[in-house]
Amino acid sequence: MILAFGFIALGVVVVVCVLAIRRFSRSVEEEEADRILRAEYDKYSQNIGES
Amino acid sequence: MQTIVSRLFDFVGPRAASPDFLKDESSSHKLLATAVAALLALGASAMWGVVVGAHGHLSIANVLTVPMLITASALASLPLALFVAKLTSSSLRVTDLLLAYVSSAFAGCTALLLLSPLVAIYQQSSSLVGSAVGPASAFLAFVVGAAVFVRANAKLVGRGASAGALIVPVVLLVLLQGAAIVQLASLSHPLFGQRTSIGHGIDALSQPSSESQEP
Repeated sequence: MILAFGFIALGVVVVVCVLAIRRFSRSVEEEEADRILRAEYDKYSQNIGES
Repeated sequence: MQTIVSRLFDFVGPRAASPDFLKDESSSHKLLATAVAALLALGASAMWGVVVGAHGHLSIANVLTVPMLITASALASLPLALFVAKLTSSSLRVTDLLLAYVSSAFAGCTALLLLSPLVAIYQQSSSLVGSAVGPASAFLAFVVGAAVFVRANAKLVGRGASAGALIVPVVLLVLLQGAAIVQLASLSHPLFGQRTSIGHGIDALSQPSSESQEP
């Protein structure tokens, strides 16, 4: 009985990990894109201010 | 993915400074690293099970049994340790402790996988140490995982969590996981083809000569 719960838990953990990787890899990519965009914007506005 | 794995090795390695993803306010990096480390740890433990249990059908059963033992023992010990961590420390984040735990499990399971060829060779060729080398490799990997867990938590101390608050959940988690995995191993089929003294769980303390009694 306990082993059956263990195998079910293993399946649940694997599924959760796969879903988490899909979900958070998208979030991380979006955060990276935001960071790059913000850095570009800061550089652009700094150039505008200097000129 | 490659970046995440290299960051994981940075985290479990001896580098004193925390990697960048620990400094981020966002928990996405940490949870992604946690999920990747968990899957890699389960995969490595499954491969160790295949190699060390190479006695016909047993190796196939070990593909599921070894990751199940690790998962079930983690689920038996982790919630209580996280609860105690929240009680003893106000600055400690659960995601940090979870990442430290899963990355140390990743280190331990990687050690397990890298020991498996040696274990297989001795199991097949030595009657003297053949039956002991499998449990010894599991014990060594557990020690590696526990040591890495302590060091990963030491890195968390540098991020504001106090050392005293971390000692209780870390020691509790290591003890509970060890107790749970030994007892769960006594319920499952023998991983090495024959049941070892560790495979009898806590009852092995009262039956020191049980290894020779049961096949």
